[in-house]
Amino acid sequence: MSLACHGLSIGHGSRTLCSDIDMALSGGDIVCLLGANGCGKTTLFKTLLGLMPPLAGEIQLCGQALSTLGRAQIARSLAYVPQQHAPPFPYSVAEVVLMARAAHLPVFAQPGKADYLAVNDALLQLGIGDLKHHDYSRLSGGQRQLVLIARALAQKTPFIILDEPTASLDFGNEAIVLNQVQALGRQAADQNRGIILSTHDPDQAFALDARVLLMHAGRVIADGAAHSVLTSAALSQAYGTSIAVERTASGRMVCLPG
Amino acid sequence: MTASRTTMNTTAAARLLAIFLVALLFGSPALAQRTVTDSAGRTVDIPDTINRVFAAGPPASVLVYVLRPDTLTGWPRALRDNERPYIASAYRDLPETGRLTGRGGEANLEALLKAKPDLIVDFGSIRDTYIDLADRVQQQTGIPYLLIDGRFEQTPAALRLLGEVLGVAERGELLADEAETLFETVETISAGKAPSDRPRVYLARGPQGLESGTTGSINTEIIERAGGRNVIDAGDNRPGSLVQLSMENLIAIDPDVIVTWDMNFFHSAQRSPLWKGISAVQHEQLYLSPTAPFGWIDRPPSLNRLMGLAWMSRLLYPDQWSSTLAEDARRFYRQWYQVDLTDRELGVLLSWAEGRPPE
Amino acid sequence: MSAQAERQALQRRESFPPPTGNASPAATPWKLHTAQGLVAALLLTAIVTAILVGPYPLTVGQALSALLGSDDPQARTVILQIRLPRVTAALLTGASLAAAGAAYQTLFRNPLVSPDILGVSAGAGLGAVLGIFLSLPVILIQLSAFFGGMAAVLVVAFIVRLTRLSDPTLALVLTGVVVGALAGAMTSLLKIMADPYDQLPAITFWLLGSLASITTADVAPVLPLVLLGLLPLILLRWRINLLAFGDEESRALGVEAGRLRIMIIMAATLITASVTAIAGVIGWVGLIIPHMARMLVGPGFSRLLPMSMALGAAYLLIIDTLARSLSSVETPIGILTAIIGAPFFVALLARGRPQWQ
Repeated sequence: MSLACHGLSIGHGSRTLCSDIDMALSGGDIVCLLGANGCGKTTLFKTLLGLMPPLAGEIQLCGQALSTLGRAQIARSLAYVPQQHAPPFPYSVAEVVLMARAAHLPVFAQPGKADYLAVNDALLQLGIGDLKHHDYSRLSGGQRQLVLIARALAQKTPFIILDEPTASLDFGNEAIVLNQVQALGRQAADQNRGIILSTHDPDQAFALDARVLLMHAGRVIADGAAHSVLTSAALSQAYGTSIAVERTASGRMVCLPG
Repeated sequence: MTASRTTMNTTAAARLLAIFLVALLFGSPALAQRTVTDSAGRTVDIPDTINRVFAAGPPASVLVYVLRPDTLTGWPRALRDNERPYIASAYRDLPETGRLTGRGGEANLEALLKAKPDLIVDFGSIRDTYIDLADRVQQQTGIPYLLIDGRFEQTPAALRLLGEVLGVAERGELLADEAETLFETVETISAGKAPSDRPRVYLARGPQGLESGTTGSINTEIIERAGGRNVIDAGDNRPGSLVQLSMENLIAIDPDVIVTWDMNFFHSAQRSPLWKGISAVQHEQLYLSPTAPFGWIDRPPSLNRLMGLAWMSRLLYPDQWSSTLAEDARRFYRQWYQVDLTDRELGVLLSWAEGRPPE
Repeated sequence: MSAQAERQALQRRESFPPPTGNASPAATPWKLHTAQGLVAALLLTAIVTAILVGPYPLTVGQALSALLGSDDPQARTVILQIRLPRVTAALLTGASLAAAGAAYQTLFRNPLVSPDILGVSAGAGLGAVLGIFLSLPVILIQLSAFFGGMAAVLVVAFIVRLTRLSDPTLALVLTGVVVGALAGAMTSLLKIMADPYDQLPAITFWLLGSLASITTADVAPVLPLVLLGLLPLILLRWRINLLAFGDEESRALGVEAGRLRIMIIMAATLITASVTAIAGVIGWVGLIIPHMARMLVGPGFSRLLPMSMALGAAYLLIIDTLARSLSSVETPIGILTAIIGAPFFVALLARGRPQWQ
């Protein structure tokens, strides 16, 4: 079980966003992608998912070149949690989560008992079993994000990609979602699951005790454990403003402007 | 009232423009003028002698053609191959001019001016819209524009009016008399039958034969004139219009006679089991009307319908006619369309009327 | 509820009921079954009424005995040759347009989309008008309409392949608008050139849609084509839902979105072109019916498809029965669907909560 890329360049057409990305992820790893807005975090995810072609370099998913895999094969190894959104139609939470099962079913098949059970387990794991029959499009942002995480779990993949799971959430929802992401992180080693997430908040990388990829100016400028890589200097460079890293009385690492 | 006042103003302007234009074109002082009143009550100043006439639409072109074909500046629609033999040879190749009436009109006003007509003639509706259209074109181009009532019963009046205008009053009078005689003949023939006993006629239009016109529509007025009853009667006093029907309507109505000019429909109706269930088809009372050079019963709704009137009256009252269709057709085409039909050409028309149209 | 109890509940019921806002889930199956029952009753009533009503006077007894084989040939003709084919055609056309509309609304993630979106109606209209213009027999006019509709969508698909727009849905919609407008312009050109006394009225009536001249011979070839088009929609009834989440997300979930989209577009086009060839251009059904169906059973396509088809069939049958009963002559269906559909749609919008926000 591995997700790796070598010499990867990402971008849209002739516009390169980031190049020379080398990364290898195994089961149990948590990787946190950090960088200023527009540095290419979402583009990297889409490239890893095979939704966009890489401009250079190669991606290996479980030992096979990504470009040789079909959509269903990719989706059986790699689940994607997009930033929360509302679909145009009022699907129920259960229906939304059930869609995770598409990768495991033949094209013309209908979901069966096992699929419904996977949905149920995922909802219970995230503590949102009671939302099952609710209209997904009418949930709060935080609830929607939890539903999308549940969907990724129901997809039963060795790897999960989360694109800024706490973006545009209010403080309370952010805490709830972050708790669930941390819970996923804690289980990652047990369940041999690899997680990549991006975030706008470096504190989260400390909280998850993740490996960090810090992106800046079209390059990965730092790659390593949060505690060794997220220095004041590196963060200040990446975000273009002076940032201090401090340890609180309780021992947590926090990043502060100034 | 409003219309006539507007007309006065417009006419004054038009007169000035016309004088100016004519002066410009011919470099001569204003020609002799006279004033005529058209069917819509508009007074229009026209030159004394008229040599070129622009027909605003197909009905007008037929009216002008039967009176003075030499004045036609063109056909609204170029003649088709199977129509050409039935038009005098000198006029078969007149240019296509497009329609001036109807929605917006497709005839270009500059092209109209280029044709240098002395007069524009429209034959058909004289409702306010058409009055306004005529006034506008007249004002814009400076060419006098005559509106002539196109209703079937107004045919003799139309012939007299335009005959007078075009300087062929005698021919207008002659044809008007002939039209009146024909009207009287068919009326006398059908007068013997009480209206409720007259044959019930369905005019089938469209490729499926399921379009028709209600009583009072310009498309079907020939039926009543020929002594039949239009089976599509809206029952109210709405002005007639084109309508669509279903096969069930037809079965419920079960007309005695069906007339059409649509060859596709004519042939398919004879094969269709549904149409075969209709008495008219069963009793071989489904008739195809020739359409060369113009339709006999419509298309356009103009003087060409006089031929259809004689034909349809003969269909409805076959034993009342002493002359044969062949004699009548030969005479009509010579008198009105000014063509001497060869036996072959006449034969084509007659077998067409018997359901064997030319390929 | 414990995980154990939840699992048991799930094993009893294999599918999920649709959401009804934040209402108690327990109320949902009851509502769902009531809606399905009512629509089934409506459909049945409409069919019976349509068979019994018509300009040819038949008593209920005559109509029934004609169905069972009476010896009154005219009554048999009216029932078996005219009303039954027409009722069948109305059901088929309504169900087809609603099915295609439901598929397109899901595919294009927009509840305001109708089957015309990729130009199939405009293409079919052009085909039919060309057929009328060339004075072809009816069967060839119908074929011309069918191929016109198919061709328009194929042209759209071809142009979309040439373009490099990153959003395939947007590319399809924009190209559909362009091709539809072109076909419309060519139709107008033919109308200008057509014989105003002969072809123009036929063209006008055709473009307004009508089932007035439907015969068994018209319905027979269309039925298998529609079934052929419905088959992929039925087989893909669950997977098509994923497209409602957009191209990237559905692909990330393991769906070959491009292939799936093409399959659905071809199926919906086949269905729409087939019925448009015999019924003419009929608007509104494919727009409002899936919308109503979604309000009743939710957006899940496995339920949306049959509900849309049943409602569409009932709606068009009622409209067509009105079309032949309102006056002594036919009222074009396209006019009725718009006159009845448009205010109805506004009422739905005013009452229900908008679902695309």
